[in-house]
Amino acid sequence: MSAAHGEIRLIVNGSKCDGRGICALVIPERISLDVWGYANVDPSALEDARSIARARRAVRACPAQALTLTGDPREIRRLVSLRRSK
Amino acid sequence: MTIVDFDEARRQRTGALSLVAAPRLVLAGETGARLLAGPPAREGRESLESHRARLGSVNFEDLDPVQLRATVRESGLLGRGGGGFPTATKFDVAAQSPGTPIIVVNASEGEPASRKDQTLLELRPHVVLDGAQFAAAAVRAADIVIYTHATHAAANESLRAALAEREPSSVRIRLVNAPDTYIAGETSAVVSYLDGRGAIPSRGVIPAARVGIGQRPTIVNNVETLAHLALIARRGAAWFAEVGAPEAPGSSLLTLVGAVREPGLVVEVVGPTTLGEVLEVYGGLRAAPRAVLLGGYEGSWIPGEDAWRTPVERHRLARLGISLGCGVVAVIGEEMCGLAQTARLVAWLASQSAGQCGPCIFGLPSLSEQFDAVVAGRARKSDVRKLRELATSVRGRGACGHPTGVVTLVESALDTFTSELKNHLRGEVCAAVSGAGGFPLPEGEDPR
Repeated sequence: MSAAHGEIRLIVNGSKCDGRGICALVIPERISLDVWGYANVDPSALEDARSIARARRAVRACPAQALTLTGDPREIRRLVSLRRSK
Repeated sequence: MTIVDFDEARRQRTGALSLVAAPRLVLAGETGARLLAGPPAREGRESLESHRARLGSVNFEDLDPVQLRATVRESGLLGRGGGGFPTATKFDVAAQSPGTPIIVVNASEGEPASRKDQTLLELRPHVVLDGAQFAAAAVRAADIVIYTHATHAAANESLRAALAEREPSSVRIRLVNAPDTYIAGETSAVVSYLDGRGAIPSRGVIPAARVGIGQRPTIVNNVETLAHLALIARRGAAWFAEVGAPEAPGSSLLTLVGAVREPGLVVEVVGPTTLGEVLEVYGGLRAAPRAVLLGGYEGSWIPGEDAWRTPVERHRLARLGISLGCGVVAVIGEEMCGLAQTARLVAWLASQSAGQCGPCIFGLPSLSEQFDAVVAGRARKSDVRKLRELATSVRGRGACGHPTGVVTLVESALDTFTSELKNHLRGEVCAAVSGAGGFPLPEGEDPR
């Protein structure tokens, strides 16, 4: 029923996405745009802190609030801050 | 029909010597039937009196919810609406979530080719209603909502008559007509509709069993799933799992449509069998057809020769990438063109989009248009490649499984009807689309 079992994934709500395309500029390795301009998101789990940080930026950048990052928010913050401290 | 008769019938048709006496396939009222045990179909709806004489009366409200949920878990029952989700998990989630749960009997059966839920409601409404009472008792629900399909008059009439026969229960029961659309039966669409919005699917991260109608835990169960529960309540989890595979226990209902002896016939699978056996014994087929569409209109085409040997077992089919879905077995007639038939279904399915996700709004009409071009002999090889690319780009998109289901239909048609495809690419256009052996669509909605 729920995808979130701790795994960190970037997911798009297809009914909210209206094809602005900003996300694909922020995280092109994870999001491509289809022929109509809608976000096509790689559903596999995000593992490295770098892509998790980018995914979080993409979530915040979406004007339609169509993107979600699944997983434990504290764990996400921890991973992102680890990267910064390096 | 007795066990011996069944094997005799099979021996006459196949010439094979069968040493196994246990039935594998049965109709309503035949020996070995489980869901469809009781009087034969011609007798119609089973009365409460007959139902109780046959299965005994159970006062579900007196039973221990924890024990009921343990029984469901032990049975290994998987949902029969098509998704195959473990029923026990829904129950456990609902029981552990705040608020008084609601049970939804999903009787919408929006798949035009499927008749199994209607058949259960028409012949064994009390088995279904007992299952709903079991579900309500297992999670201490206060409400049962029966979500019916407005145009399934016989099923609804039977349901009403059955409800009138039953004693009042402390659980409130109400009937709600589902909108007459393909996607109205999808769990999130059901919850959305019953919560006062449109019957539109959503991709929620929170399951309905936790937060559903009016923020209350909501268990949406298919009619067949609930009917199994009524039998599990009486005969136990071990009895239930005596048939079927450990990965997908219990008997299953199939609906046969298209070029078969009796389109719309519902058969119960109670032992190991193949699609060939199903089509031979109850479809009236003597040899493998050109192809079979398995799992409904968003299912997969399988070449007839392959289908003939294919076991009717959900988990084994799943390993082949095929879903038995809601159990529809649709046979394409000899005089029909599988591509033309698929184009007709794709056009209808495209019209059934909820209109909320871009890849569905734009993707499905494009798929339909490009598939039509192939069928009309207006396409070249490169166009087929483009059609496949388009299909790939739509797969997995959107808030529900609708676009992906259409892609499965399109891709499996292109893989299965290869010789027909060559003919169409050469500009040899065929005419046969509907008529005898055609696949059913809701009245007035046939796009051809």
